[in-house]
Amino acid sequence: MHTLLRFAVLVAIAATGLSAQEQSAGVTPEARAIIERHLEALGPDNPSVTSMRATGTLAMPAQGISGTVEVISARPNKALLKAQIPGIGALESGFDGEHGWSLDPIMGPALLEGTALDQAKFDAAFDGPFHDLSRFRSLIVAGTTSFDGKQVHQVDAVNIRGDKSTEYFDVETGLHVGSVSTRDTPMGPVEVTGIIRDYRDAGGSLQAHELVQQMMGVEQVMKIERFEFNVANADTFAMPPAVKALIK
Amino acid sequence: MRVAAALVAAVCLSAQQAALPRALDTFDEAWAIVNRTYYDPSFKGVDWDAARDALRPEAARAQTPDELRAVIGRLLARLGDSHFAIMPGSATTADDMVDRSGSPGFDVRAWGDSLLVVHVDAGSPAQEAGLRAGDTIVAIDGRPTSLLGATLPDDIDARVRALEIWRAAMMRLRGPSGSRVGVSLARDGSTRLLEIARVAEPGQTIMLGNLPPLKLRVDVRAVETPSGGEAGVIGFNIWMAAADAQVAGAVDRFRGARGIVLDLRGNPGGLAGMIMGISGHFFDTRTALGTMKTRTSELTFFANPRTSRPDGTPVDVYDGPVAILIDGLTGSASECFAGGMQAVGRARVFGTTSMGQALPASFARLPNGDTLLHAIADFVTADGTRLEGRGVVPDEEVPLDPAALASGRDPVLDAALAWIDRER
Repeated sequence: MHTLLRFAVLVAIAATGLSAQEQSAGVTPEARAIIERHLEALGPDNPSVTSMRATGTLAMPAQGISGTVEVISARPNKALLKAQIPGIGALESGFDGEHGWSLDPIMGPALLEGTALDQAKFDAAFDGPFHDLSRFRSLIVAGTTSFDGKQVHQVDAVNIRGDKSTEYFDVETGLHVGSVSTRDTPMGPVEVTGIIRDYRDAGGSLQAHELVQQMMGVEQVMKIERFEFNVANADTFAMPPAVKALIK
Repeated sequence: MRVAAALVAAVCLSAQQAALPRALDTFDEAWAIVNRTYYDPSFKGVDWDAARDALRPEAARAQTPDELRAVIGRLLARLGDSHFAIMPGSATTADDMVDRSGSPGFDVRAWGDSLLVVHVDAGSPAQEAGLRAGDTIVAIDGRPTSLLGATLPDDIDARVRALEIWRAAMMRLRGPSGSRVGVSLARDGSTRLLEIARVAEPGQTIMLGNLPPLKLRVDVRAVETPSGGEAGVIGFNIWMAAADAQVAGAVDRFRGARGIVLDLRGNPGGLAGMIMGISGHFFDTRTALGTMKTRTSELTFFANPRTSRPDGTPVDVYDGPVAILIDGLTGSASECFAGGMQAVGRARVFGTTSMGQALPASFARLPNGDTLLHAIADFVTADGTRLEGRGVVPDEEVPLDPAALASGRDPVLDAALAWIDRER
């Protein structure tokens, strides 16, 4: 399993299993090999894990902003993020399998719509983006380059929604270490660089313990201090009342 | 000899660096942040590399934090935009070290060579001392108010002059809680001196990252329109997240009122994203108010319809007349909000033209501990109006009127209430 930062403003952590990948016409053998190496590097999948809870800190270091964060995800595609930021307050976002939503004192309660909802659904997959390669129209190796101070394989990806991204895999370890993509936010598309660092064992496989997002010149850093497994229940992903009331 | 000279030079350099550590790091980082994030990749025609090369030697020679800040200030000034500033990370001058947590409890605006009192807090030491709205202050602690803007350039924009005079006035009016400030005022043809105590400024203290502590005040009251209907007046002094719930509660209170007045006079901005949440109380559909243009993205500020209470009770958004009050000290997020609401015809704006300082900005800690405020985007309203340098021009211009203030009236609010009556 591994963790992956995917939302631009919303953040989800998904677990990726090692199950067999389906064939996808646009995935080149070279790209498939890179992804198989990444999955192998993560370690064995545990099918008995149905949910995961990660807790830690969420910070914007340059701005001196830091708070706490809790991210919960569950099979097949539920995700919830709760952050508490001094000076701002409680920020929540989630995807319950059908509805994507957010609640914070900046925008108030909101339901995601259109492409932002589609992207939230895609990102909420517990098994992550690389578990099932049929989720991609194409994955093509573009060569090697440097990213976050590492020598990496660059893989140009187009997912089934048509979203393009550039994915980076560490040449040395094989691990997925980041991506550059355009994220659909409620305010419009934003180019986001995601950096994945500090893979360590948690629950018998490697989990990234540091996730960095850079967008519009601002950097946001999530550091995970603790992972727990199989902690979600039926109520975990229930929408707050103010959001639920928005559903027509 | 040459070795000795080199040694002396090295010692001198070392001594300079010891006196002002990280000066070049700080200058370089400020330059780099702007280089990385400024919304216009052409830097408005400014050769940004050349600007660094020209000023970097001056930064290296800076002997004090203020000298370094002045050099960085000159660098930033080349862009000619608002929302570039250096906020000292620690007190470095005697003036910086003054505790300004105490306030006498009134607000002013520049008025010729003097200051016009525009508001006195109920129950404040200023009110107890007899200060009234409409009074004219001619000196603070014996220093003539005519000197407040004495060092400003002659060709400075009138709104910027008024803002700087206000800032200078606040620096003098504020001080430690429990201290007193001497206010000389002109009233009825004579001058009198009031000794006014300073008390802790009311409001909720907000600590947000590297920003200095902020005081949030949300003032909510019901007033009568000229025809006797009820209108709600909601004023807040800064766009901070903690205001959201209070404003939501106030809108709830006035959901059946004849009109709602949002008083943003003196509100300098804050978290720009909040304009989506606050405006959402007045739209039943997602409506674009304006666009924030960064170097790489165009993000739209949408009004996010607020059709539920925190407990999940569905509500209708407020669909009655909305008036927004502004003045020359209304800035940034307040301008984006007022200009956006005006552009789509959802509000009528009253007062005087706003600051014209409406660039979305971020802030970052510099190596020397100072904080750099830097513009990262431009903002245009939904009808394409760029607010930077222009400001929000009210639909009904209502200038300051000392006589009206002295008689207890608020002509800007009065104009808004009269319009609300006409609208219903």
